Amino acid sequence: MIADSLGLALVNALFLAAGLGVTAAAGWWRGRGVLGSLGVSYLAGVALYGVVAQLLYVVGVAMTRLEVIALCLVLAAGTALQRAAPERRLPRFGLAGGAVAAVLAVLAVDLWFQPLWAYDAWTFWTPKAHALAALGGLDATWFAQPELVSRDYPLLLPAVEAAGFRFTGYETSLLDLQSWLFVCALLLAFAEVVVPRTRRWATALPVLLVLAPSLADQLASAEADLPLAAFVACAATTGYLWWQERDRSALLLFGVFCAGAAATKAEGIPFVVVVTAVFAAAALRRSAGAALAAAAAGAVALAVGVLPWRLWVDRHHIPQQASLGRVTDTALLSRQAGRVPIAARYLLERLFDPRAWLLLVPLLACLTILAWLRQRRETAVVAASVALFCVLAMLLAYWTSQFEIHYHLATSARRVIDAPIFAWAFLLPLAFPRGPDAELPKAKAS
Amino acid sequence: MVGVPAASTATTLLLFALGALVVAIGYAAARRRLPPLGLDARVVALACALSLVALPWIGWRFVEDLRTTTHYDAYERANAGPIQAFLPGYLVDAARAVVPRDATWASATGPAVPYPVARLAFPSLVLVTLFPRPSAPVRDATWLVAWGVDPRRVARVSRVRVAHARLGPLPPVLLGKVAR
Repeated sequence: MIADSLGLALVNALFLAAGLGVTAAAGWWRGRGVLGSLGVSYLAGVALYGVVAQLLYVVGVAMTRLEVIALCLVLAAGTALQRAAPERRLPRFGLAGGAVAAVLAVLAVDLWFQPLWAYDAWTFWTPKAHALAALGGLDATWFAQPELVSRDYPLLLPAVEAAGFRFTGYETSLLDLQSWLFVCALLLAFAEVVVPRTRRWATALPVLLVLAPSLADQLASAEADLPLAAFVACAATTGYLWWQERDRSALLLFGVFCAGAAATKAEGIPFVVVVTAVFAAAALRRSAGAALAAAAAGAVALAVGVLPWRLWVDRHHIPQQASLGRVTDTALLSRQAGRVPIAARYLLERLFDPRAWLLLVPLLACLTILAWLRQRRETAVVAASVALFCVLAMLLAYWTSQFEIHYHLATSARRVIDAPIFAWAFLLPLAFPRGPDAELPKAKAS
Repeated sequence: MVGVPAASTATTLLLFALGALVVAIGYAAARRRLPPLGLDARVVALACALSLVALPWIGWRFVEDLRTTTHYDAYERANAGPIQAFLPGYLVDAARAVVPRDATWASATGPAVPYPVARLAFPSLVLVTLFPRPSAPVRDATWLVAWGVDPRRVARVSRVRVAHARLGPLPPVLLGKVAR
């Protein structure tokens, strides 16, 4: 397993290299700013690798080890296209950073011994990844078979796991550590983007996040909800940078993260629609062009992240769980209206359950009210809107679901609320800029 | 985490009381050195302090989880998913030797399986065990893997063999070649 973990490190180094190429080409960092861009770059690398790999699988590429390396190197070549970029320094972490690092180390030890046990992971996420690697790509006979659970779910996570299997062999025990790397990168992204713009207390939020029992439970599950939440949180943060600072590199990365979210899970599509709509609406108050750019980035991301896979799914007559037809079917909505209060209550209970997220969600609610009272209304409203509309999108999904409502809620709600919580936790501190009269970091020269 | 048991009320209360004591002592010791805080920082500090009360409970979860997972043997590590669904990981292993690699299969479960979650997960166990053989609708499949139901009641099968004998409350797994 130790040799396999070196393989896992190697494939993740390739994702990081790919991400550094993407962020450099986007104009996110330059020169030594690389050290302050590792978290964002890694997640951008995973997102773009997953989206492109899904497209390549659909057109028949096997994604052998050499092809994985080649794709990552092509993306990494973006470092040669570096553009003018602001200086990005890694903030000092202090006590909170030490606490986060200590908890992450404990988590890594725990995950090292964790087998593959979560239902969704062993029934379809990992079998799909195994099939991609073992059958040399997207074998239609296997992927369209009727006994495969969630056949319509997109391929980003299986593609990333399959890339890992190309280097580690079929070693399922390491998948939890892959999820751990996503979370490490996400917390690093928070330190890189959010912490320099906000007050010192913001560093407490990653501590609460990493201590949350739900995070430990989900890291041990190797499912797609944490990567989805990471992409949605990063999309929300880069969307904010476009809205507030007109950072063009952030707009490009917003598109990358939206595409990654849409290609990760069916729930990613409504989350991307929400994040895009909220930032387009917020930007519209200042400039129609900025709003249009945000909307276009979200729309292109959806098309790239979803369309190729949906076309493949349609071509193989695979029924889709997430259907626009169902959520607009008034007869169904009326027939299943009794589900709304059940789902709303269940979601609220999961959101505010201290056994899952400690006091993170009540804290975010209190801070939203405080930001409102202190005239930081724009950002507070945007942060709360992203979280609220994502939860409402989930409510709509449960309302129109084809599954028995109590079963569906019990098996998924505790996980799918990750994305709105993470996005809220990333956006809300930005309503409290550093110092009472602090200016936002200057927009970079483009 | 797979190995965390449900804590008893007494254990939970004890762990939270310990956490409250530690936070109270920490606050008393650091009170005079705390800088003046704005309202937003005070709200965050309060939430953090209250959350830290749960620290012993969080630590207990890690310890219990590691106590379980570090004692798993190779079989438990490889089959933790099916085991969580009350399925022995080897339940369908014998079918690999019978179902040809280019064949297709369908599964069927019946009420004789006492655990609903096991019934639900059984097709996935067959899928993983018989990889890379794909499944097919019963009318098109060449083999039927039946559990808790007589395969002859699901499809016209030419010969039925036992892939795994009855195991305690679990009924036998039966294999039938679908007749054409």
